[in-house]
Amino acid sequence: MAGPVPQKLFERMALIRVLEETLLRLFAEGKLSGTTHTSIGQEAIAVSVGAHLAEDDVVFASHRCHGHYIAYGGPPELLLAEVMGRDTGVCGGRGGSQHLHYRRFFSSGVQGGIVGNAVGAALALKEAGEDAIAVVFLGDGTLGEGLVYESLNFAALRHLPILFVLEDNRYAQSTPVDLAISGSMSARAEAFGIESGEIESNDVLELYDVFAKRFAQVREQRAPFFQVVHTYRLAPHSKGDDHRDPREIEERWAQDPLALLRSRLDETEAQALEAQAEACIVEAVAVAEAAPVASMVPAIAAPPDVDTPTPFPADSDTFAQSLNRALHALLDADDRAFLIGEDVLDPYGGAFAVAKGLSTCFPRQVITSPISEAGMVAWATGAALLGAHPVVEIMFGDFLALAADQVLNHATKYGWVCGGDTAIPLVLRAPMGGGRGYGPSHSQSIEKMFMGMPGLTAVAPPHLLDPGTLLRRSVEVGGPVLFMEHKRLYGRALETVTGGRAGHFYVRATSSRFPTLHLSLVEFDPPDLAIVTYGGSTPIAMEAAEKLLMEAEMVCDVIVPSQVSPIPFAEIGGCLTHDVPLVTLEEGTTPWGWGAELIAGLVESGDTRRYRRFGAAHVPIPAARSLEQQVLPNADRIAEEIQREFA
Amino acid sequence: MSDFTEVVMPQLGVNDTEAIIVEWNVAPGDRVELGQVLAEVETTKATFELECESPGHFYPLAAEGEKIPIRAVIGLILPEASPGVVDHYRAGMERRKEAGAEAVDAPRLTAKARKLVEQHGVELSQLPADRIVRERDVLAALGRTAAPAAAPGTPRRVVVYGASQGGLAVVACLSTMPSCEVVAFLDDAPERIGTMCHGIPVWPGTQLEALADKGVTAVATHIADGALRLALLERTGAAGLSFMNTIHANATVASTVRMGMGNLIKAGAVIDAYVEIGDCCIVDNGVILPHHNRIGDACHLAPGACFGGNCDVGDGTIVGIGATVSARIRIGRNVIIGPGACVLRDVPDDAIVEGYPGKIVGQRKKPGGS
Repeated sequence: MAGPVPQKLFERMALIRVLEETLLRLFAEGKLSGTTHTSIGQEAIAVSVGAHLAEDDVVFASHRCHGHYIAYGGPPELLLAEVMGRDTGVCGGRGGSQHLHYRRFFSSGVQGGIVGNAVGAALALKEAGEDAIAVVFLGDGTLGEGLVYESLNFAALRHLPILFVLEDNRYAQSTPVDLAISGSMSARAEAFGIESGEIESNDVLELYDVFAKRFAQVREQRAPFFQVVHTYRLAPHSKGDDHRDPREIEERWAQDPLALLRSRLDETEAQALEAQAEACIVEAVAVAEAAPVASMVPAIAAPPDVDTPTPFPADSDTFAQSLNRALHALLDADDRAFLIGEDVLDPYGGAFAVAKGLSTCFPRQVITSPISEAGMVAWATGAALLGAHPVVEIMFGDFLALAADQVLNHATKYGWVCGGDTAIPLVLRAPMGGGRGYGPSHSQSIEKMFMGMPGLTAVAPPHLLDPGTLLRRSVEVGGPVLFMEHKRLYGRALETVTGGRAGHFYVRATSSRFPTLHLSLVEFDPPDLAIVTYGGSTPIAMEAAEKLLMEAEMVCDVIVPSQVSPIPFAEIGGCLTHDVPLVTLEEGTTPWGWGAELIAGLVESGDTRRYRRFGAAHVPIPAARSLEQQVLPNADRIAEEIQREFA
Repeated sequence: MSDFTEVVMPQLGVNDTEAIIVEWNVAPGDRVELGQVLAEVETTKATFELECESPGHFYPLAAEGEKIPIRAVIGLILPEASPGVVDHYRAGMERRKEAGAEAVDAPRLTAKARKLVEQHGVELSQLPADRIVRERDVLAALGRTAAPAAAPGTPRRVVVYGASQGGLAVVACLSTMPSCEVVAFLDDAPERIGTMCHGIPVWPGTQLEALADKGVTAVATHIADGALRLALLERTGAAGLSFMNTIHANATVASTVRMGMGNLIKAGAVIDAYVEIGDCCIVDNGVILPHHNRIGDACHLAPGACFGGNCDVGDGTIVGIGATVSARIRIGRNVIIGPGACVLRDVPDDAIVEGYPGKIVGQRKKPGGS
């Protein structure tokens, strides 16, 4: 590789400096949306890294990302328009200063999250056989986040081609490093067996040489490297929040990376380059100001619906066997699909044996993960950004809470913020529900904590539909899907539906991708009421309906959407042809829950029937079976209460 | 019987509901010792060795390759070799299995249906076997059916109340229905008693209470007075007879229609989905009742009366020939809608409505009668 061209480096650094000084001025003039974090004083790092980026390398940056964006080659006018809230912004005004996306450059504003995503991107690059590598910028403050360590561990375990660039600018917002970081920064990486380097420098030429070696090593060895660069932030964290000693800042200006490089350039040349940067930004501001203010809040892109045969179970596989078969078929047919989970390797094959046999048949595509739920979802999200089709097995749905930030701030955000070309075809398989005496942290149905997140689709197969087919369809929809598998169903044989009958029930189904079932015990004679439920509560609702008919001749239809969120109101409405009471049944607790959402939606549309919600008692789920039975919904109690209230 | 120990399929994995016996390691009758491996068992997760927990002579009760529910008995251990005990145990198992299978095949009855079956001694074979049997299904089997789609049972012996022109119309209706045999007319006019009307004998109306003894099960009628029809419903019930729904085969009645008893549905009537009809109504030729109409008791909808969807018609109301009732109209009880009237607004109880648009032209005092 040719040596550094100081003029080129200066041109980039000057562009970043002018851009950020302009942003601070525009902020003072009230022309920016929200806040902005500048990297004044740290430009040498961004530019020395950027100089070594290859066309297809992937870059992740955090909230302080303008410099990295410019160094990557992002057009300044698109960034300015973005921060100024214009339609023409690089993310249409949706992302603002902290959330930028341009080609293979991504940034996000929550600390640590992008580190996991970058590791996932590196995994996808490696699996796809690409030469490109991933680069992630993190700050000293980010070292406080646990996901960083989960990700370092995984990157080392999987030998992933990723360069971690830690910019230690001595402050996490207002907190100095010695109050936030114990021990050594680089030793953190070394502990995971990741080779590291540490340098204190604002000299872009020196850094250029350092990163030349680092890039070469990561590209050749296809293994991670952790480079610490000690530097200093010369401007405030954002705006008006600088409480550092002015003398300290003054002293650090002597190490201004631009001044250091400028002293080595010809004065007229330097002036010309500065003028060029100045002119570029002035024009970019003018263009942005002339552009229309962002006006379109796009809806979440819903996958186009399809008219497709209802996947009634074809044979009497168990629920778990159907999922297992579907995963075999998926991994076989789709080279970019992979399954990641804890303990998923043979001979164990996952806590519920859904992954049994997969790692033997598809060793490359089945990844056993350390116990790192946030990590798994972060890596899968990053891999999905790069075109992989990950399926994450969360051992117990309860553990999804560990990955909540990844689902909320990353997996469901990138697609919408980044715009049309970005999809996150990610499926999170989560065993939910109780009835097995596993106690408070292994028995919950916590989907309601997630279903309020825009952009997340929740699917829950009942035992009357083939769960494997619904899993395949979840992979196909191309957006993050929470796929809920009820633990009580795993070992249960699927119920075959023949001639529109399943046992005593008559069955009708819609023909959408995730169909809604309508069950009647009386061949769709008018009912006296309807229960709407999903997933593992379906057998309970059916049992309650049978009891009501047998004991009181109350005719109770059971309506089971397999897409739980967004709620398919049209399909459910199609089953509600009679103005009879409607009850909802979910296994989670009812406050702020699915039943409340369903009923609210019906009421808003002018529906005026009587309603009632059933769910678990609003307490943690006890382990003792006798106590658990009191807390979880059961058919006897539901039938009794319905009779008392509606008979 | 000598002592024995049951060998039970253990819960091997927390999530398993069944397991497979891969191989028995001992032959039937073999002496087994504590800790000896009896069988190799496979769950969804792994293979386990099933160890002997009680010494003795072992006899398997399940085959290799068989899927066994967790906690089911898979073998016996006896203190002495004794195949007879095992055969006895096995026979008991078979009996229990058969009893279980029988229970599945027998019709399942709701509590109300069971009560009726017990009251009337209905043969279970007359009831549908392919679904849960409700009260209405038993009524259907008793010939008091409300269910239009109900399968015909044994031929019903029917008498028609009123040896009049209307009565003949009922006979015509009944002749289109499967399994109906008209035995006689009943009439209260002394001059008709003992005559033959179109080949059918006319018996005195007072005979009604004695008909059950003559093998008659059902009564039908075309009596015009709704109050009299209601009274007949009471009398037939008390006499152990069914005041049947008489539905001409050429009437169109949707499978989701619900109706009570004693209704007469004549040829050409169209009764669409989810219509509800009470007891003792006459729905005449060519009446159109689209979906979700609700008709009370003892109404008479005269020929050609035409309704929009989702109307309510109160008890005892008469809708005249060719009258038109717009959708979602509520018509009160004991109302008369004149022939050809066009009802565009709700009608209160006891009103008489005529004309286009329908206007209230009078009040009806006495309920019933037409």
